[in-house]
Amino acid sequence: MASDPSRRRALTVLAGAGATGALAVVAIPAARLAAAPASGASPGAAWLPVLKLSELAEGVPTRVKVIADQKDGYTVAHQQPLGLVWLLRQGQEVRAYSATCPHLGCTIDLAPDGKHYFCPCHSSWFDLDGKKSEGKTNKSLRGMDALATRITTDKHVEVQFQRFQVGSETAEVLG
Amino acid sequence: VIGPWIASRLGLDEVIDGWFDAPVVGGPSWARAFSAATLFAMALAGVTGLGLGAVYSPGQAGAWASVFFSEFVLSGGWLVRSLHMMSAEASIVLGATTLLLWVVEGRYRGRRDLAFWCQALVAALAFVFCITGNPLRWDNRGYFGFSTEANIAAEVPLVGRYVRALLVGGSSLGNWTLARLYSLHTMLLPLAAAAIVAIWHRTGRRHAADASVSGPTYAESQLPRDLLACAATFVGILVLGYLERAPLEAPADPLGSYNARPEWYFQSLYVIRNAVPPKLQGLIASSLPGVLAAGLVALPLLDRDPQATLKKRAPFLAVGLLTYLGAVGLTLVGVISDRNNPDLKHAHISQSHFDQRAVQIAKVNGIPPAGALAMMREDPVLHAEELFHDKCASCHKLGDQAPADGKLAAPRLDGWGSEAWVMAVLEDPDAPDLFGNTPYKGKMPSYTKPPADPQAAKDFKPMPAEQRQAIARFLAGEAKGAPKGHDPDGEKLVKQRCTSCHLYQGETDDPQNLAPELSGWGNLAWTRAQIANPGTNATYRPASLAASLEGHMPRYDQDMPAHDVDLLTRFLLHRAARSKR
Repeated sequence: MASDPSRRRALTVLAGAGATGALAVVAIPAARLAAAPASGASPGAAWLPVLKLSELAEGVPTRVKVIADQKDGYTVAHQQPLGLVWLLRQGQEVRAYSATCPHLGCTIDLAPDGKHYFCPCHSSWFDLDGKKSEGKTNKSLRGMDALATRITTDKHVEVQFQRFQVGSETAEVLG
Repeated sequence: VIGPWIASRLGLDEVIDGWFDAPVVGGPSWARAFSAATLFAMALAGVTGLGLGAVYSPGQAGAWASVFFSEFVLSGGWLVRSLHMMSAEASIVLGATTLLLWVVEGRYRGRRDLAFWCQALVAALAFVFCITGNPLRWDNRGYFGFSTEANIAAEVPLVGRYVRALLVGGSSLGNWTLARLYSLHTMLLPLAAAAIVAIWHRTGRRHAADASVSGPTYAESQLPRDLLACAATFVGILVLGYLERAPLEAPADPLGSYNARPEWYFQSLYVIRNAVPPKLQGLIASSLPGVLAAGLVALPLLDRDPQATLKKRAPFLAVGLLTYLGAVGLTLVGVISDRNNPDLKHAHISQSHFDQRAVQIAKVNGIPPAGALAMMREDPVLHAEELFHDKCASCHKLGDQAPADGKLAAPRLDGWGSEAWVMAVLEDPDAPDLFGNTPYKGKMPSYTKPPADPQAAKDFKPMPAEQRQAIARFLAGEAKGAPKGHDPDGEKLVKQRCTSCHLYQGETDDPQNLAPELSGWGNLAWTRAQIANPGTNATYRPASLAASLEGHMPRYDQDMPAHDVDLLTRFLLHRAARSKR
């Protein structure tokens, strides 16, 4: 019986297809589970208070922490520093730039001269208005990422904190 | 008894005989011995990894803490870690070198193409093991290294972003990243490695079973070379692993300023990336590994004539050799230029402060369930240093904390509250590291140098040194919190010579003057009051906060919680007392 070639082939096909099918049935939900974190919808950026306008000196770049609840996969930590933002006050207006380097995501510092931003990882220089500095090294394809700011009626500075895809020419918001 | 039982159940003797008596296809070679050494190094990493995996906890709260536990608490844990790292890195070196030797020997011709591809996959896996393993310890080096690697992967057109999202598990690194890396590193990759080795082994058995193949047996020709290569690898890994401990820097702080550097095995790519214009970086990131992979796939298909002379194979040899030597050379260039980079040295020194502090707190206080980063953020010393950096160091200097541009806009606080500090003020209050760059410049006269005005200079008499000493001794006593009446002579001098401007116990001859209170000067209460609000008469006067006094000391009681003001005060006094004017 076992030597009957057609029966043998049929059994092989049945066993192969059966095993593949059964594995696929469980593999699909397993793969979806594994891919779940990658398809998270991006929540709208909230306005987060960072400091009082009076604490910002005119024209002096100041780095502040953005504090809010931090969701991390399966945990939520309340009132955690989410990221760093450079603020620059000009009169009653405040400009904000993400301190995450748009090149590869290192943290941007103030250059020793106090007149530029500087990312030490790949020596990228930016002007205080976030643009790439002329005549200095810069590995980034775009300037620093600007963030929306507003001043509340009680004179607090609020920032719309967002993260952006690094390495690209245009800034795309990440979830 | 055991031997025959195993033989009857498993037939291991026949399996071993099968291996040993099989003819070595193409004759014995060192290239094959290097393959054996690569797999042996990976097996060592696997065994040590089993031990580490039994302690490790993949999650933001537990990752650094559990690695710290392996490294510093469990006996011999540090050696397991360094052997694990050394075996993993050795398998990269051995894997790449093996590939080169295979190319030189043309060990992919005939039916050995699949074996060659298996060897190439093993070499690639050695890289991926290191990429996925390094961030698991969740210190700054691992975290920022992986963050940069994931961002480079995202530069690959079309698929890059999805690869990053899948690896990272969302947009920013966190719990999900660790779960993914851990399951890749400990489950998926070892399974893949086992599957590749099984296929590889099968191709060899199939080839050797062919009746047309003849030659010396494995046991008498290849086995001695394999044993020697594995023994040398073993000794090398043991010695290097003993000498070089696996790194564990401060817990990953996504908000910290960290100067991320590529690990040595990425230095060659880093050097190339840095040499091309920014616009081409994405192309380099995606095409270089792609070209390398395509080349390895194509080699057995292009260079296939088993009879080809070395001369005929020269182009393939040249490309292989140049690629290998190029990678080695660029790696050296990158490593050496990093080693000689002064900025990097500086960053390393300031970073190692956190590394040492992290280990110190973890050893003394233990790590809370909230994790190692929470431990760092709750550490009063680090918090006070950060407060000083954020609130004080833009004008003042204390120890190695100073304004970024090096220009002091307020007194240097080293040795503040000491006799030497008071002596310096009496001699030259307008020195650039005292009040020379503050709105108080010119408000207090020197007691040793005549004033600039020639009329006033005529009447000037320097204060005798012993009087200055007595004042300095008295004020330093106040700063130390000495009991009332600790120095009647010094107090008498202060009342005679200073209160025409200064307050002393709330009294002064000149209520319009801004000169500060000298009673309790520099002690805990005085310093705390000065940080909270310098304009209360407890230290300086209300008018010292006037907007016209540009660059004056601001009040912080409205911006800082009271416990932060306390902490900063104690920190300042502690550091000032341990530094010299």
